[in-house]
Amino acid sequence: MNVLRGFATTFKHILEEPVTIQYPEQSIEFQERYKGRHELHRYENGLEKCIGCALCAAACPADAIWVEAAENTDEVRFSPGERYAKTYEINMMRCIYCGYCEDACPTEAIVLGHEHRLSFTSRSEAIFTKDVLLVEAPEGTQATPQRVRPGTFDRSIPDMEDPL
Amino acid sequence: MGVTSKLGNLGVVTTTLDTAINWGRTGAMWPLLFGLACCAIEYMSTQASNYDLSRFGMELNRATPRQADLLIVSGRVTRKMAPVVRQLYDQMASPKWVISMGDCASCGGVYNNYAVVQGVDEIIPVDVYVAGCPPRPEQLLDGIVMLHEKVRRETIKEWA
Amino acid sequence: MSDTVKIYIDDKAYDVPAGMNLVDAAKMAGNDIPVFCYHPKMEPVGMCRMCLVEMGSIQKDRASGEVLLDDKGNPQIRWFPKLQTACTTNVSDGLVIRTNTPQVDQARENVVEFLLTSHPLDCPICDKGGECPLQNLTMEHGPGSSRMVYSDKLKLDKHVPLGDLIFLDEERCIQCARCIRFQDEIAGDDVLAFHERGRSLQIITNSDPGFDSYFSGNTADICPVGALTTADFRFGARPWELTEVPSICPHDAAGSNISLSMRLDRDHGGRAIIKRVMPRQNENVNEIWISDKTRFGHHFTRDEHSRLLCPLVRRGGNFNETEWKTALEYAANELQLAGGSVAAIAGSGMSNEDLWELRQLVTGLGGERLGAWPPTHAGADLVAQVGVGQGTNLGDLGKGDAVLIVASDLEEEVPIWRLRIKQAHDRGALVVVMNGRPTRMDDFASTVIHYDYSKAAGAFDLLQKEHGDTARQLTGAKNLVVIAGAEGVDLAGSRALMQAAANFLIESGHVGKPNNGLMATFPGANGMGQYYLGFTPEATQDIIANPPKVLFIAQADLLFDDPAAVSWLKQVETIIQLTLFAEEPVPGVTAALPIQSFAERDGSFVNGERRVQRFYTAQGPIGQALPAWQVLNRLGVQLGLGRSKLSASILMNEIAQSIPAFAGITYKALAHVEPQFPLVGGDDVYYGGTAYRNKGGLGVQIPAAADNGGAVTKGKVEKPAAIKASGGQLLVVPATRLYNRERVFRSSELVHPRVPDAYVAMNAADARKLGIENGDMVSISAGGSTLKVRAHVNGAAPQGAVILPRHLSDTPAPLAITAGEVSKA
Repeated sequence: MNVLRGFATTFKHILEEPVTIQYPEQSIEFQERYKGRHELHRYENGLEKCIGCALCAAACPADAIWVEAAENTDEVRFSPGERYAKTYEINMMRCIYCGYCEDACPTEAIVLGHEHRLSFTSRSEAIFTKDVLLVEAPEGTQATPQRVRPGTFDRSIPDMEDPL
Repeated sequence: MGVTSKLGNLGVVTTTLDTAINWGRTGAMWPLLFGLACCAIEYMSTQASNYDLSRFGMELNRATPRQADLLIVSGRVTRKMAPVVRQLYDQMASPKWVISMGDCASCGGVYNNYAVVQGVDEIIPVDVYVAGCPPRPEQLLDGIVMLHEKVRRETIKEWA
Repeated sequence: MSDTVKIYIDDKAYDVPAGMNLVDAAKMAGNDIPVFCYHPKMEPVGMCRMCLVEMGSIQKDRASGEVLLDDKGNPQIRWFPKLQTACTTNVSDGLVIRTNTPQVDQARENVVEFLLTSHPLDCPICDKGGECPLQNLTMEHGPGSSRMVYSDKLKLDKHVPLGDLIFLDEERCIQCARCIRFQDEIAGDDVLAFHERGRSLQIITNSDPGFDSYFSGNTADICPVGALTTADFRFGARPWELTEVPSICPHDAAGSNISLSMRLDRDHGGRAIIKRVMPRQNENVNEIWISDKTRFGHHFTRDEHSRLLCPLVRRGGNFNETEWKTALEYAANELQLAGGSVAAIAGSGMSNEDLWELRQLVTGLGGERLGAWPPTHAGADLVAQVGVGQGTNLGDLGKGDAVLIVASDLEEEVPIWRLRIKQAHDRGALVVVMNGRPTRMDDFASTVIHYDYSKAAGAFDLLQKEHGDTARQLTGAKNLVVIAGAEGVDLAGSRALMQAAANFLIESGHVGKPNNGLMATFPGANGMGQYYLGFTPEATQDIIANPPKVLFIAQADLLFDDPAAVSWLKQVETIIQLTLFAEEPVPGVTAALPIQSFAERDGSFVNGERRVQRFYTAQGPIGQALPAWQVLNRLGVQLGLGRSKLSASILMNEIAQSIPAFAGITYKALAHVEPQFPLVGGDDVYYGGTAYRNKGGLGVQIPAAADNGGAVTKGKVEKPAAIKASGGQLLVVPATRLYNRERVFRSSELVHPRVPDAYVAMNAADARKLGIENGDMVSISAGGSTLKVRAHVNGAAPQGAVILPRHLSDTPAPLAITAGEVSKA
């Protein structure tokens, strides 16, 4: 009798649709909160949001982020404030995608996106530099460094709507 | 190497043979039944029906290294575990491949300390590193696809 | 003890030294009263109001002096009606304060909130962020949220260069006046001031060039916010990312204790480099201050372009890069051929360990002559005899004590001594300055005596004969320190001067005691070490007179220092040079071997007060450079002289066994630390600034021969013939400038605007006679060289002499005073 009950279950499932996702041909929709590869964002005028404060590096539990800062001038301007990230590197292989960097960032420059294809054939490939991490400049704006009129940007950190 | 030096350039023979051999290798690359830490959980779910590794001919997790082709190092390798991992690798028959799954296996990850090997490539050669902590099944599948591509690029000249 | 008083902090009794500042006393008792404007090294001003506490005093019966008790039998306390500032209060018996009441908490919160009304929210990019008193105290005492509208904050200029080295952020300034008070009270360069009033109040500099002080960097350390930042470190790294390595300033005889803040750097191939140099507390040496040369003169340690990266040997006229093995074999071969005619000249930047190995090598090969470079300052043996006693602290000198500074421009030679003696003068010490020309030290002197440069060696005769009152004041002082330089004298003159100084001290009994004795402004960091390890300027003179077959030149820039060097070096067959820099090789040099700078290796220096101090390895080597001791040791092994040695600490053990002065000194003893007051460098950065706590060792002072009752006798002063200028000639007096173009300083580009163009200071009368006006180019022929420099006719030189600063132009100025021709170019 038990044998029959077992077969009944089997036959019931035979008729069901397979649950298998045919990855990589098809993929499930990731949740909005999913934390994938990082992106460094820009303002609408093309300047980088990152101010090189290295708080992301301080917050990083895996020591995956390396930031070196330098000072902007009006001739060579990367970000609206005084300071920008001269070097910004994330070791994708060390990063644990916890998103603390995103939380620590005072200017919402670093954001974890949804890109998840992160396989490498060597360790050095996994170090993403600033060029790789930065998103494209919005259309109609000049990529950084920009040359700006003196006095346009005189704040150390761009004024934000809600600093809290 | 050997083949070409003995028999000369065999041209179309070797390239066709390459395709055939690599089709065989990528079609049934049996992983070793071996898990170290949390990444192994993701590895299990990759095996399970939602992602179903058998689509890649990898449904057979061999519990002995002698019958395995692929070592997926899924988790942090402690200094005490290192000799074991090395022995397992040594016992595998060639051709054999290694995927370092997740941050800890790849470079130590958050465990930047004396007890953990800072990257399993310190003890065995790694073909593909999969980032993530732990990597989603998709990410591991990406790594496997990348490994397959790598294997497909191998030619008989290099190893025979 | 009679000099302590009992005070009550939060109902607990403490015994503290009488008359001590209340903030300091509370700090000693373990109770941190928060402050912004108060600094333990400076007079209180009570400007920030952060230190408000409840204060009262225990009531005593006026007639009997007995403590009055209340109904419950507790002492009656009369409380002040309002809160009082702790920093403007000195402790007295029966003082009662409370720091933990709601009233005090409220006051602190209000003060912080008030300060934050106009303080920008740019902590993420502020260099002080992470070690900021305002940040810390806001977290501790401040309000949790702001009542202010962010967009209404005061917006001011954020990038005001106060000088070439210091930037002011006007928004961040909380107007505590610490920087202004430091410049006025401690540095004595009163170049900062407040401008305007109220909300418009700003820090300005009133000097030209801006912030003209050799101590400007210290203001950035004590600034309780990020208002003052240094050009060197601006946005260099966040404080928590830095690794601190204790070290010693390699530039002058003070031996300032420093802390090197290291961090890896992408631009330097991922190597660790010095991001900034910070003071490390040593109350006996540099307190918590360092000079700007110490702070900003470190760039040579990382400069791959100027440093020698691999050994070079000359083969058939060509100078080839080679491996260490080849170079050492080659050098060893040359040394074997010399047949004992070997000598060495070692610069004053060599550590004790380097000098020891050099000595072992040269004496092992049968050589005897060990020369010290530069051969300008004699009398190190006298400093070893009657130098300042063990336990000397210039910070202890005060009323009743005296300091005599002779033949030295102290501010340019050893700025930290000048800073500390300025403070001694403020405390009431008698400071007498004797020189042939006006110097900066004159501003802080009680008596200034100017002598004729031709009689510089006999300055003490002049003092005793013509300034008897001053001489008597000096000899009668409780403590007397004599600081002697070698400006305006040649080597023989320097010896005469030093001997006269030693005799003066011995006669008046000012030897063998702490805070008494002789100090000398030896150039470089290890002038005394040279003496203790047997390197003397007299031997250098001998080497110049009779050049050996093989000469070691170790970390000495002979060609840049001495115009005569080119000619006498030609007579040396083989020159083996140990050098930091890939400069034009000395003519005829056979092998140039790269050595490591102070930041790349460990070692020890002996400062001008004979304090042996240890520095630690901070960064990896540049190129293939090795520590000098290792190069010399490997050469010795190649030649079959002794065994290979593994570490600098082993060499120090050897030195301690062989050289009596170093008896008992080990690296462990040098690393010994004791608690010092004021307590700086903890988490409470608001108290003493961001100077670091000393974790690398306070050093060990070598006792002078006169210490512990040792007998010393006066020596004969052999005065050399006076150097006279005849027939239209003028005396050319080489002088030292702190900022110059020496090779170690050339890589520090940010200080370049402050290095003066080559000039000569002339007296107006001489200039008129020669038809020279201020700003004219003049040509000076003296001591075998001809220099073309600009004339400054500004009263800085006495009649009959011109002051020619060394190391300002590429042509070397004479090493010592000499007569020379001056003409309009």
